[in-house]
Amino acid sequence: MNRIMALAHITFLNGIRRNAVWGLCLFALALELCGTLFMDFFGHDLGRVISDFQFSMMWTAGMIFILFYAVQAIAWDDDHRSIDSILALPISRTEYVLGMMAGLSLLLICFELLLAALAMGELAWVKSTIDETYFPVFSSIHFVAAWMGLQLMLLVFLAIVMLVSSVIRGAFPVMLVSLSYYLICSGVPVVRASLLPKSHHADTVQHGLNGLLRAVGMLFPDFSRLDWKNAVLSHQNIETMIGMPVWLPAGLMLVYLAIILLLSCMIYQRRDLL
Amino acid sequence: MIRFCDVHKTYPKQIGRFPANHALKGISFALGRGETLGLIGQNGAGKSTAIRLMMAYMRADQGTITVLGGEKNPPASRRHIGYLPEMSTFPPSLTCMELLRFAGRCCGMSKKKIAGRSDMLTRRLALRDVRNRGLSKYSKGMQQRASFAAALIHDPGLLILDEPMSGLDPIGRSEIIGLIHELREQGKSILFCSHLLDDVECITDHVAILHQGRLFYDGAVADLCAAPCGWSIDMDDGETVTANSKEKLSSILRQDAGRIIGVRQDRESLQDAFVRVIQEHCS
Repeated sequence: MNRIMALAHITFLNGIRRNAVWGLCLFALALELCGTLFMDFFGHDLGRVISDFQFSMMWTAGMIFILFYAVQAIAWDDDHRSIDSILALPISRTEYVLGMMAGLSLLLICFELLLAALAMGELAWVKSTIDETYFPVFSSIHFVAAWMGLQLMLLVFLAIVMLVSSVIRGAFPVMLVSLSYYLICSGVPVVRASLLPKSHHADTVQHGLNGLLRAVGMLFPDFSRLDWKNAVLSHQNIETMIGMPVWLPAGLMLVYLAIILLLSCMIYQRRDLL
Repeated sequence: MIRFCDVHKTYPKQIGRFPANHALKGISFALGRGETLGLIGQNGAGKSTAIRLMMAYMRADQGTITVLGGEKNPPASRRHIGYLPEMSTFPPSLTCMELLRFAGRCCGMSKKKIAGRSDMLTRRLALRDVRNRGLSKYSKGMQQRASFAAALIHDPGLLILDEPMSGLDPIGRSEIIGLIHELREQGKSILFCSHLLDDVECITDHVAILHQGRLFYDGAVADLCAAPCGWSIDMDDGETVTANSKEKLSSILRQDAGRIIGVRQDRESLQDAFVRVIQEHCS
């Protein structure tokens, strides 16, 4: 554990000293502040517009961080043979994977915390300045829950990047494959919904196709199950909105996260460092 | 400490890029406790492959590699190994002190011990004044010395040094050679891999010569360089004349008998012996 923490610490330190990370952070913060500009364009549902915009900004900034910083940071170790120097110390490859993951996750969460603090402050300020007709409800607890769902989504995606990096060398191919994986994950539920049997008399082909899509859905998890941002401005709680207990999609994603990390560790263990 | 026994390694074919490369073809050598071994050879001879196999970065196709008594070189055994890779790089924004703290923490050392060793090593490797500066601002030689410090932080019993002099200026080089001599006197086992044969000759007792994946020589430097390669004749006016053959020597002895104050038999340098061994095996 100490070695994982030590590696996470240097990964985190290396990240916060990168101008690119700070640039991305400041850019995302500036864009979030632009959310207040919507006050002049929208009347009804102003709260929803601002809230959706803030969550989209947090998601986009997180994805940019993962695809352009985390991918590079992992590939850098391979390309510059930094992994040789690190594994020369008494660090196992499993500890290396977990340490990198922990460091990058910590960096991502700190970065997202800044964005969340600004978003929450901005939403609270907008609510206090306008009439209740335009912004009736703001639940800070649901905001935190929705933010945690978003973080879990980003962490699973970061783990996918880790897994792809263990199989493929080079930042660009890793980025392409990871992004494709994410797009398939987003696309499968849409395809499945459109192909669901419309009547009880659906033929066996349609049943078979549905079964196949269900199996594909296990390989490509549905990230939208963790999208709880609609609850931030609603009287309903998240469980009522998604129609299942919160722990179910969250637990499922945690299981995915653990499986993906386990696979990454296993591949790193067996891989020849050429 | 290290034993290679009939080790083979082939890099797989990369379609459209490289054909399969049989990098090591049944090599066997050993490094005992307290010994120093120089692994020498041309570019592509298989030196780095051998070292990467020792560090368990890759698996051998055939044969056995034993490091510190174990065949798999698990991470725990690396607490007793100090490895300096040929291209040693750590995250560039770290400072030398952060790097040493990280290395010490990974080796399970206490904060106090890390501080003491870091202080000694930064002083010994002339990094004290720049220890809190980012590694990206270091020259290549300074980065090499910082990596050397990280490899020595846990005071390992076995040192594997892959081209430790690369990027060092003459002063830095002589300081590192001095440090390696000190470590040798402390009884550390050292495997030293370099193209600079003068350095190998002055540091190591034994050498293993690799050429295109085959081991051409494994033995003492003194035995390898034992063959006489001529004579040096010191004259009374301070001049030194060399004779490459017995005929030339007897001719000089006859002509200048009155001026000669001494005759010495010359031995081959490691450089000449290396070239001779390669030529003998390739012809």
